[in-house]
Amino acid sequence: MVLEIKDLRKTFTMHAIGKQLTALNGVSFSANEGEFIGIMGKSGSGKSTLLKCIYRTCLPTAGSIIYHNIDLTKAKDNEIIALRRKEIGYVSQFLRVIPRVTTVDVVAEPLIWKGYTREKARDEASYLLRKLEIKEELLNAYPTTFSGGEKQRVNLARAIISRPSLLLLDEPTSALDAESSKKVVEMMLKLKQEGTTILGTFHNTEILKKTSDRIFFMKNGCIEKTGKTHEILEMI
Amino acid sequence: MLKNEINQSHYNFAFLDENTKREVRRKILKAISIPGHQIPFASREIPLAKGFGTGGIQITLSLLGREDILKVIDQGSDDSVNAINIKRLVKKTCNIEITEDAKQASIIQSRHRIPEEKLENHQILVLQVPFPEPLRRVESEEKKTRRMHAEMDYSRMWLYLYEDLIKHGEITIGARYPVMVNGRYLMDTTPIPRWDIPNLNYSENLTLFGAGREKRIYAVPPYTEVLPLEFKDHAFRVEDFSGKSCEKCGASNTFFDEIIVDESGARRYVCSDTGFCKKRREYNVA
Amino acid sequence: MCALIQDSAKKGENIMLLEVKALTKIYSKNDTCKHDFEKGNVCVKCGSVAAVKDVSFRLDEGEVLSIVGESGSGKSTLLKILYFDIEPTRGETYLSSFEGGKRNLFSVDSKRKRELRNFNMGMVYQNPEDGIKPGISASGNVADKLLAANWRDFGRIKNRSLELLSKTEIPEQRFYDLTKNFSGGMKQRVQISKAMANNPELLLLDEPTTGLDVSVQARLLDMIRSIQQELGIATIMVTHDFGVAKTLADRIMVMCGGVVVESGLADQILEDPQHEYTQLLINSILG
Repeated sequence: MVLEIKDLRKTFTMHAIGKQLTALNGVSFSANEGEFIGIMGKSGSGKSTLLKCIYRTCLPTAGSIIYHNIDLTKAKDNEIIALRRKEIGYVSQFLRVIPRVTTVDVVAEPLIWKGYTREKARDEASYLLRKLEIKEELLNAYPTTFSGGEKQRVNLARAIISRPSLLLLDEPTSALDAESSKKVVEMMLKLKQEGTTILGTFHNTEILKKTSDRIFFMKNGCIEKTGKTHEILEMI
Repeated sequence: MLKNEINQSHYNFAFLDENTKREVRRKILKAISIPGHQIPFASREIPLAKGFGTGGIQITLSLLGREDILKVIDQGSDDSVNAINIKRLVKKTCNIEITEDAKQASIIQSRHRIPEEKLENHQILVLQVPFPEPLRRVESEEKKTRRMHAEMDYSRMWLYLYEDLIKHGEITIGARYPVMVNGRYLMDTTPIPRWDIPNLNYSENLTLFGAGREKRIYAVPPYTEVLPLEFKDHAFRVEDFSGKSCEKCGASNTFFDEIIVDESGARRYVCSDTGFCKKRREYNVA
Repeated sequence: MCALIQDSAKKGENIMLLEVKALTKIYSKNDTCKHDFEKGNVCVKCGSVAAVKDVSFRLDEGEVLSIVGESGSGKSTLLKILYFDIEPTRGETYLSSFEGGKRNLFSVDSKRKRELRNFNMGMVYQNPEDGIKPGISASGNVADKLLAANWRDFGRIKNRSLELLSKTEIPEQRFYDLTKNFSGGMKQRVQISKAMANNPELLLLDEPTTGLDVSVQARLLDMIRSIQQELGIATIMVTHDFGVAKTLADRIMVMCGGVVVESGLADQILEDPQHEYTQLLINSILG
């Protein structure tokens, strides 16, 4: 078992207006090596918050997140930094890119953290970007001016290049056309084969069919329905 | 006070009162125990204008005993006006033996030069110093230079040498070249030229430095390491007199005074150390 | 911990470099008073001000920590204390490479402190005049740091200084110009070269881009980031601007009134701030 979530809760407290917002209301599940879990649900159902809590962009209010015997909710900041660099990848739904860094360098960075030389890292990054159909002339350009789809692929490349053990994807294909989506799906399946555990939120049922072993259907901060892909998709 | 044979004046033996001598000697001892470190002392009025060696004179006068033999040079010469005047004061107030022979003297007071002949362990060299603080060139505040010495923080001086090298391709400091004494204190070598600096290193004699106006005494005891500041790849160099020789005695390896002869600009070289030059001529050394 | 950590890149090794414990600086108006700072950082009895109050944190090798706060938060004072510019009232700091991390840096004599500054640390001040000498050339200013670290080979010093100035994109023809004639951004770049000169383990930056034009700021930050990544230098950057913090920081520490109000991973502080004050600051970010 790679990941075990027990009764995860998240409530946002907005001090300025004295309001609270509960985004996660007791989520529990476990995931194994090489499993691909698709997460569905309306916006506001808690899908993004779930991924963010695992990645520690959000601090869970209660519950535990056990990753390979480590409780991430109790881990220190520097331990999380280490995990993010070597083990856990994340792609946000917001298509933000690091400004003034070339595409190749953005994607090469995680390999440099792993100890690759800058040259080797750049080579691997270029290779991956080409596979994701990023045009040659864009490799040394700044992604800030790219289209949504291009940005998304760049961010994805950055997350997957170091072959993380756990991959968290928030709407990774939302801005992609059919062709690019296909390539991305291929890549994700390959990683899955190699043992990466993937949690991804999707709206596209076709992609869910192709990728996910299981689906979580979320509503109001809980997993309302869970089961094998075809079962859930039939229900909807 | 003894008059007539010893002392024809109304002053104490060697002019200074015994209390002053004791103060100066105490400070000399302190200076010897902290090589290169400037020791403040209560500088007295001397019948000589400040800037003409009052510090050196106070040291000499405090050390003189009846058996001492004194040599005084100025710019290397025994005959200069300043040297003569100092010798006259000494003669009048204590009538000890005066010599021009560096080997004979027990105390040598000098402004500007170290004698060419190697001095021995029983001899004391007294140098007259106008500016005792080697860091003054880079820092004008006394409080700060004292702290630099206390913390052995001489980076400002190194920076000066670095910038000098960058600008001119070589270090252009002529006199007052900074040296490290005993690996601890940065010391000013006024008034001696670069030529004489290697003589300070592990010298057999004691060298004392006196600054009357600034009220400081410092010392280089015998067998003390004295090394000029230098970069590993830019060795310290002395003045270059290659190909030149003394007009009077023919020596080619001493420090020279350069004399411009006539309107044509022709130069002649003579030994700066007149006593040494005279000796060479007397013994006809080739 | 299971077998996660492989070798290679320094960051993520979780090797502690710096540990700060209960650092406090009180500007005392009355030395006999037993100060009461219960209601904030001004003593209710005598009006003394605690500029920094019981601040503790740790910094790992290769990590970038950004200390964010408004004026008067104590962030700059904290940094100056770490660089020995200001003496703390209380507190300890330990550097893993100094006496095995067992000796409080504040307990050593001023000569040792100067050695620590010269050999182990690099500092970039907000005001470049505090860090570089205007009457000395750009190359001389970088050489200054090397000379203070006992470099004695002129050729090596010169080459190293030129190498660093090139890295911060100072034009060649200005290497030997006096820095007093440089622009603000250029002066900061000379400061950065100087700070990096002796490959320090710890880099301290005090609002390094404040007051500079936006494009100059961006360029400078990119430069710092690239150098920091290349050399893996542990860095503490003080700033009042979250945007600036975001470009470099792994972790952010928020200060207010001399105390640490919240600290955590950079993205977490920016997206899910917990403390009321942090939320206020985040909500005040323009655009």
